[in-house]
Amino acid sequence: MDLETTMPGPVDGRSGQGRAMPSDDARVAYSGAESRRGASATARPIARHRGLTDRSIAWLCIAPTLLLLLAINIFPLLWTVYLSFTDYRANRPGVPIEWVGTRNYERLLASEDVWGYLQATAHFVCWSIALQVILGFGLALLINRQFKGHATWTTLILLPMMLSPAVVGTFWTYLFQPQAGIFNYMVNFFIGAGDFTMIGDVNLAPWAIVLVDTWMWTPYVMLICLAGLRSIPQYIYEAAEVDRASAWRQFWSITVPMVLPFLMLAVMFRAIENFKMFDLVVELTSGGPGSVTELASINLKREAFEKWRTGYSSAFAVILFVTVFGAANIYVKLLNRMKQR
Amino acid sequence: MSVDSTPSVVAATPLARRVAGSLVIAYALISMIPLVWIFMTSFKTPSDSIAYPPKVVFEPTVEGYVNLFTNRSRQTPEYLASLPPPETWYEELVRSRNMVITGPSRFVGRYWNSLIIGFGSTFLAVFLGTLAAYGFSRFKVPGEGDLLFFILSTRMMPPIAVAIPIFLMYRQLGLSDTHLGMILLYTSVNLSLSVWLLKGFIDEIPREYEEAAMVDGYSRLQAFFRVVLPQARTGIAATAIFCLIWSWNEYAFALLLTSGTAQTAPPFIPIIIGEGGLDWPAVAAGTTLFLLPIVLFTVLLRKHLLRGITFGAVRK
Amino acid sequence: MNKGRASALAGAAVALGLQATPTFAQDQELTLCWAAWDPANALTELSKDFTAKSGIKMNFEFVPWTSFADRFLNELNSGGELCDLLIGDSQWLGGSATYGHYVKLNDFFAQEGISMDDFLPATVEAYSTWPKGSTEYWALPAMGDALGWVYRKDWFARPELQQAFKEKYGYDLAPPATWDQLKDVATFFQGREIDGKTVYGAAIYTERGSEGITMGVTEALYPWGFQYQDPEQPYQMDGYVNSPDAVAALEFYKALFECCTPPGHTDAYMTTNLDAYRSGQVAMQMNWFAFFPGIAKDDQVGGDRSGFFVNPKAKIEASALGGQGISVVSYSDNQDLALEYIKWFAEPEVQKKWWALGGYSCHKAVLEDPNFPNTAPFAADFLRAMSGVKDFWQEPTYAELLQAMQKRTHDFVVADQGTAQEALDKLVQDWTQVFEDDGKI
Repeated sequence: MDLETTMPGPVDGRSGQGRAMPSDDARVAYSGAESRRGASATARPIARHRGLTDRSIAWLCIAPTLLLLLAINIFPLLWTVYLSFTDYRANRPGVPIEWVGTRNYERLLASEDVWGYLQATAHFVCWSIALQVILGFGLALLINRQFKGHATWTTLILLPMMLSPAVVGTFWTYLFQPQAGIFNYMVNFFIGAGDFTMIGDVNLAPWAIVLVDTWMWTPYVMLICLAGLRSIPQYIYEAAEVDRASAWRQFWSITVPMVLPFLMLAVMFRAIENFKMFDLVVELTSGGPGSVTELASINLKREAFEKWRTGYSSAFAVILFVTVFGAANIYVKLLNRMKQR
Repeated sequence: MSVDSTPSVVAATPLARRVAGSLVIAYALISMIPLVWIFMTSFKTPSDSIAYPPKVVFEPTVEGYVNLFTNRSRQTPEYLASLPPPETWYEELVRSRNMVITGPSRFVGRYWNSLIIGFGSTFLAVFLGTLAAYGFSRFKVPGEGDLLFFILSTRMMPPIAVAIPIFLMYRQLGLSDTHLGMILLYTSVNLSLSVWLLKGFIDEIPREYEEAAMVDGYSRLQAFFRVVLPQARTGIAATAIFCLIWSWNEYAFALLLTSGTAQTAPPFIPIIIGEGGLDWPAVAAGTTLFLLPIVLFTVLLRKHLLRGITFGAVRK
Repeated sequence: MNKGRASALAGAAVALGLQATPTFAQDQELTLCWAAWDPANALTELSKDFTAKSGIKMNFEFVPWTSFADRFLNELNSGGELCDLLIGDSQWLGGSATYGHYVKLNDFFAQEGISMDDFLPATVEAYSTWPKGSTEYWALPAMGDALGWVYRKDWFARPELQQAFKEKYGYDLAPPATWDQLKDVATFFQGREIDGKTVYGAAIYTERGSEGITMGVTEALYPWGFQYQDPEQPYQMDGYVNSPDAVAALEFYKALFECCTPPGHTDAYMTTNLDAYRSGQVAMQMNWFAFFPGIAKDDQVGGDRSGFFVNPKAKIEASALGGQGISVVSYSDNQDLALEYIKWFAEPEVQKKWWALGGYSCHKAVLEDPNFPNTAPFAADFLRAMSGVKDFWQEPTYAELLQAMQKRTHDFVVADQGTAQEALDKLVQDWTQVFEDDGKI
């Protein structure tokens, strides 16, 4: 999986290392470097430099990271996979662990409740991302016009994303409270929707969590789109104007394709995060009413840390991980293919 | 946040600019309303905060902040009369509500833990991430693409799922509820992001610079410090902001793996109970105070933030 | 560290009257863990006497109810040494006794002459014993509690309201004695304008996260004669948990939720109910007796504005049991000091002061005192409630049983899914599965 090609770059096809702008060719600062090597992206030094070989330096640099990740991410993951085939319960340390084969998986896949949780998660992920993309991209386009004071307003828009999701969930319960909170009053001020309860209504609660998540993370998508927009070189638009292409045409054939890789990256990050979502929703609705907003992670926490069914919850965790991993894999391949075009 | 030297803006008419401006300002104002309301709530009394209809005009007080930092208990007026007069302004405020301060709350301790664990893990993630990114970028590492995807995939596991075996592992190792345990955990989660981002930055620093430096006699290590790091500093700053935001605001691990000693602020703020329900002014006060360091950090480094996302499309 | 050996060692040391570790008077500290609520503040006050008498400094770790079980069960399961003394929920006894989290207190009681006969039998059985009803003691009854009701006495006293009620329902407006009356009164107040604001009937428990709605629903189930299992055959629940009476009770609770609660009251437990009541939104609230001293002292709704009544009856009179016992954690390093605290706490004089400060003593010297019903407006109701309390499962697997009931009842009552019969049938299935996995069936 070549990650280099997934990183967004200018549309002239030069991706990978040394993603310099065409107009930057002449701006190499350090004297003499230009004459010795071209802007080569592939040649790598293998010579010895004072003591350590390059190979050992490389491993020295990478090893601490890999070791830490192995210890704290991979080893637990493998342990989780092992536990998923047992009936272990973490609140009974003395009891011997029994191997039960695929019984946990069978129970999970046969349980209609579990499909409900996955459905709730899918609804949340899809709609929150859709809204964030529309709003975020729209905002980025508008901010890119560089009206007066746009820097300050941009900074203000960024504030929601800097809060702790758990705290956000908590104070939005306060805002959504029909009597003491301002949300209902404000909505009725503009629309006159009458009496309703955002987080107490079975139909509205899934939208409440989408709304709060969108409020929180639209700035993130906006930021990434803005970066994408800023990366489009001016000369391309100038060339299009020379060709007398309309603004609409410019938008669709220049702006969108060049921002799309950035956008898709933002979508991937947000989708991964929202699939794992726990703290915001658990504080906002506790998974209620009933189980309509009980996301996969919330159920996982209940199984693992309230009921202490460690083996069963490990199986659920493995299923979730495999799902995200598989989806991300496919997505990154798609992204790469898009980059080649 | 205007950083770029060659803005690629579609040439906009003044009218278009004004329309764009008003739409953005409208969105900014609407999205700020909840924050402004919470900020206002931090200056209400607890009964004002649950009044209905909600009070827009009210008498401000710092009771929320005092409640955030203290534990109190309600007493009868007779008992209060028997006590010596209050010595400080906040004691006086509390007494006026027929309560006495029984001691400081845990907020300062939690905030302090957040500072240690948040900044500690950010520093470590950026440090190790820079090293690893340099390694991946400059050297031919076997299986590089796969290793990089593997590093990214460590972020795909739901925190709750990782928490189960980490809980068991830390219990064995005695790392439960310790600062070190949490710093290591947060670092490893942030590494996936930091390696990935930093590799992008370091990739775009032409290796010619280092080559030239090494030809001039510097060792690779010196070249790293003298050439690569300064060039990468905006990328490092951007990565640091993202890592800090994540570590600072993390909830699930802090909830499940810590209790008295190493618990950070996010599990603490949503459960500040007043005399009935949540003490909303105190929760609002906690939210405001907790937001400050991040805002400060971001404002100081805001020039680097946008640059960071760009992965270096534009350079001076 | 081998927990079994450590607690056996400490037990032996205590039995021989030796101190486990040499300590000096200034260094002695104890940490007591409980939930963060009014009675905890009262206990902090009370414990100052202990510190004065013994020189041992008391530290407290209080966590709000919504995170209480999470936090301290986690602590116990990780063998944490934070808590020396833990006032744990009565439902934790099964697990804590079975998995060795609590120190068994029989020897200590025998040695110090603390007799369980000095405490109300219902409280001893509920807060101290495991297995249920045996004489193995794992805690000292610390806080008696049951689920009761509060009402706005000042509103009930208004002549125009009394007249309107009498016209509509044909009997006097008064604290309801039956669930039908409760519904009538709640319906009467729902949506009524009082002092310029719209008010609502009652605040009841509907919380999804920890145990709220289960406590609320069982408060309705018990008066309909609910039984958890066949009295002759343990763990046989079909026909008992989902009996026609149980279905009727559950449907009644849902009807009450739908007709007579404030809008948005879908995830409410103790604190939300208190807020709704104190802000003047509701005429009645269901809440634990533990809060009643605080309500009586409240500056907005206290004094003559509030009155209390015991859980209304349907077929029988019964209330949901709350309350906790105080235990010594077996991972603690200060077990001897902790036992000293328990010895002090069990003294009749201390128990009397505990009641005076707002804690619910379980000691007969307090409760059987002839003057007791006069000591507080809710005292008589408390005695009445405690004579007819029922508790939830205390099995080691209680958390799974609780979570299952939380889900099934919340799905039905709040999320409007399925029928009451279906909800209870599914609950029987869930519980059967839990007991099968646990080897009880």
